[in-house]
Amino acid sequence: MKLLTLDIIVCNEIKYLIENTPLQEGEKLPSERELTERFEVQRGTVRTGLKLLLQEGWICAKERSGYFVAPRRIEKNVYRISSTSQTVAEMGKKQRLKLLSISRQEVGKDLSLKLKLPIGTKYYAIERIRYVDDEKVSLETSAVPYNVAPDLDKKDLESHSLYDVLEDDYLNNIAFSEQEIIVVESDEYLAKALSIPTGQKLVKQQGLVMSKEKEPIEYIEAYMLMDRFVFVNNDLLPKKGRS
Amino acid sequence: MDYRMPIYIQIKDAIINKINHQEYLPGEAIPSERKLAEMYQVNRMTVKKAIESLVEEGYLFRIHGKGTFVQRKNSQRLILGGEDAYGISALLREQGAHTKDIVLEKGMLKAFNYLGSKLELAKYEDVYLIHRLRCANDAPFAMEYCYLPFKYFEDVDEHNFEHVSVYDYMERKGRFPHKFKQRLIIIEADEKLAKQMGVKENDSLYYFEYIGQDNEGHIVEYTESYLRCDKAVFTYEAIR
Repeated sequence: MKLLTLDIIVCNEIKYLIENTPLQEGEKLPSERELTERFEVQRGTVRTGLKLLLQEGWICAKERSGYFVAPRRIEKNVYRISSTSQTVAEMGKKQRLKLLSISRQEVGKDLSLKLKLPIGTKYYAIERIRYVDDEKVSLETSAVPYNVAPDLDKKDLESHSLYDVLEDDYLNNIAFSEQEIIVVESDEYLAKALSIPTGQKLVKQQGLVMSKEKEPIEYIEAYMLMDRFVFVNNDLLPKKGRS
Repeated sequence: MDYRMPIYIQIKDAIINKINHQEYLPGEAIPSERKLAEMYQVNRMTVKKAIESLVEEGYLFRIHGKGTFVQRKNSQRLILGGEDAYGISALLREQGAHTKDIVLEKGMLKAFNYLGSKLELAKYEDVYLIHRLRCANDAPFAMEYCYLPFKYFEDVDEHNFEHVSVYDYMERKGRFPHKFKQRLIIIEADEKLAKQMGVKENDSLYYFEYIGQDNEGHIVEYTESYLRCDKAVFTYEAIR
């Protein structure tokens, strides 16, 4: 029995071409016929290989003109708390943040459990849309306790990363965060904010950012387009538990 | 807990304590409302309120006509961390799940460009593949393709990875992946994957890639793993 079917091998070899840059973002893939000749396989095999690539978001199809290399995913580091703005800038992409709203609120029951602060604590509720290369990629909501950043609503949160403001302007010691990644479907509000259909699947990252003194600094809920983000650790981290 | 707190909250707390101390076991029925009311000398409505609140919070569930039961751990989603050295099975067992691995295929293949680049091998070097379906509590949980450079694991074919942990085996060979890189995206299951993993087509799956490096700096593992989003939740801790 063949271990890996040929369509998986074709799919993997095209991934290699994309990862190692002979094929650039936005570039048109060779035609099915060319790929058939190049890999010396049946046309049907190439077709299912391409389907696998579509599914994992490596390529996108444009009607009547073929397949193109999809935009590179934005890397979210799962080991370091880093600003997404910086990551996007390092990728050489254009980005901007649009502040939808910032308002003073009081912590209710749900948020009190998440932010680990008593009901009634004052906080800033911030909602921002992130654009990368002029496309909306995520809606990011933050709850920041008032005492962490008084008058936060007077700061420019469109051209500065929230962490820069919290650290540089308010001298907070951001130290660690606990996050989880789940899948949700867009409700009407999210659909409208991100200009997508209702019921579309989104990746949701949520969790608490804390200071060195373990005081809550921010509770994040970010809704991200599924095929625009990848969660990575690229640093060859030591595994916990065995030595 | 303060004795001046509302009584139903004190009763809730007492029940949660018993669950935590395994006096009430997962899947087991707790005493009836009537019995609890007698036990704590309170009004039955008070007990009812406490239980309703525990059902809402996921500690308990009701079966009509049978009673109220302690929620099984496995009906909650399993917590996946990023950096557990003992692998999925250990993680699942730790959380009270019964695990079973099924080897779907195994054997040797040649590295082309893709596997070669992941495992830092030359083209056409031998790679050993272990393709497993991993089940938790008799339901498919993860589908895993584990690629090992054959040159470091020449007796790999003699082992049965339905019973032996791949990481234990690697450790014995002195090639444990002490360091790792990881990538995670979320994808939708295609027809084939959906069927293999017991989900519907287009259901969400976590797709992980791991690259493991041993203490000598050799890449010793490349693993692709599909996990059911309805059975697990990926969590991580990051530092500044």
